[in-house]
Amino acid sequence: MLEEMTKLYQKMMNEWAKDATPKWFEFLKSEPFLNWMKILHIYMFEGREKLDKFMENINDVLRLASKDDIKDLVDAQRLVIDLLEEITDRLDKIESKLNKGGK
Amino acid sequence: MEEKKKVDRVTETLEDVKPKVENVDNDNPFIKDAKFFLNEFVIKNINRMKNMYDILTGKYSNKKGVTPYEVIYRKNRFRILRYISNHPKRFKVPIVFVYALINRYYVLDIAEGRSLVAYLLEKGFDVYMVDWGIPSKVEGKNTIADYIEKYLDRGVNKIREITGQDKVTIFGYCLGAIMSLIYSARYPEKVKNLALLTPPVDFGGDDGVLTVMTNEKYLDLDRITEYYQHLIPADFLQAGFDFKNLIGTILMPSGFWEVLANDKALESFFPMHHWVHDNTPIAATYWKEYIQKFYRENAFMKNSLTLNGRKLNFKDIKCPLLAIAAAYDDIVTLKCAEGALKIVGSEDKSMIVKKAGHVGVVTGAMASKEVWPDIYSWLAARSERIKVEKDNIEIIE
Repeated sequence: MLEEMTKLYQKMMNEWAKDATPKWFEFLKSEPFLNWMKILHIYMFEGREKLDKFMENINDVLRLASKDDIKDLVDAQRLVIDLLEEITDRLDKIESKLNKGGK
Repeated sequence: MEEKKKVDRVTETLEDVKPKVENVDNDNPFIKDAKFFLNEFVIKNINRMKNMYDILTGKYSNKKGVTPYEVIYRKNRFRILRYISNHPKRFKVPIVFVYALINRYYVLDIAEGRSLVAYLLEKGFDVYMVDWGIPSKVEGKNTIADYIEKYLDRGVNKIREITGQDKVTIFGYCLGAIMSLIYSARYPEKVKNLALLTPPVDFGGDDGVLTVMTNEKYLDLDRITEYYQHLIPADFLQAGFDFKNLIGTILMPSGFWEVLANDKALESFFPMHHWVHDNTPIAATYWKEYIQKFYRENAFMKNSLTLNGRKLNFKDIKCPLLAIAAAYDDIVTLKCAEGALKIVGSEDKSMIVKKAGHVGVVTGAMASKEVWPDIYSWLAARSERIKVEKDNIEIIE
């Protein structure tokens, strides 16, 4: 009895998943959903922009630097170092070519 | 003697009684339920508690790949990894895996027995991996051309330099397959073989969920990139995939409850679970360009792609091409993947279609039995073998 009930439950779940997946995909591709998605992401970003600006103002008042700000600066620094290394490599190559040419 | 007779008699009696007891058990619903209860609710729950303890004590922590490697090239956060192997090398041409810029590369080396990388190393290939890394904000303006010319090409050059080989086998997966195709068209002289796993190529008339959702009528790319400026966050990208997989997410707790009772299933479940949630942000300019050019303009099929002002012609790809597609893939549909064969100029081109999903085709239970051997046979036939001389006799390993 218990075994049959468990098997029945699993069978029902599998069948539901099998039926529901294509229906869900059809829903995601439907015009009403896509229009809702468009409205949502436009308004969502507007709302988030306002919130970000508000938080920036608070940070300005409190004069706080976040960990992310420092990370960004380190990343920028690393990129500049990479760029300088690349320029040095290129200059070395040009220099060695010039030396080989004897001019 | 008497003792032996007694033992034999007892054994005979037991043998006589056994089927009777079994018959009684099978016919008696109470005993059947009791046996089922014991297995399902007692033994399995004890196992679940044991496994829960293992999870909490970190047995299944995120390993990010199982094969050891060394980093042979690095640019910002981009790396080229060379996998270390004790197996003898049998093939000259190195394989360079190019994974997508979203999610992490180690899905191809996810767990013991489920690693395509380890399988190819065992077969004697020299295997390299492109790890695009987690981009920093200053890399947010990177375009497709930047990634191809300033990152991937320099990495491939390093591999060519180390191995002494002029050409490599490029093996792209998903978005990495797009990068591989573009790379092969830009630098055909450096590519010996091109293998593409679920390549998203032909979006013309494609009715996949992602293709419909990225339609310009509904998705405002400018608004999104204007807001995020540098990087499109991993959470934003993941939200789209999670929403698409809502049915799977609903069934997840029930599935996990069953997995929790099964040690072997749990070993496979956790690496995949970690990987699915280990997403990376993507450079905003690159993301916008990718959706605009491929999903919306179908640039591959129209052969209209330019890289830093240079027109690319995919018919310039003459090397052997293998495309592998998954019949149940809801990210890259079969039709979308088939496009790869149509756009190239190769004469030697083949396609393998397997009954699997987008990720299962390379990491699933059937992958090691059905997909990997096919990949190996294809690559082995097209990768120069190392010749070994023994007693003046040339042996091909």
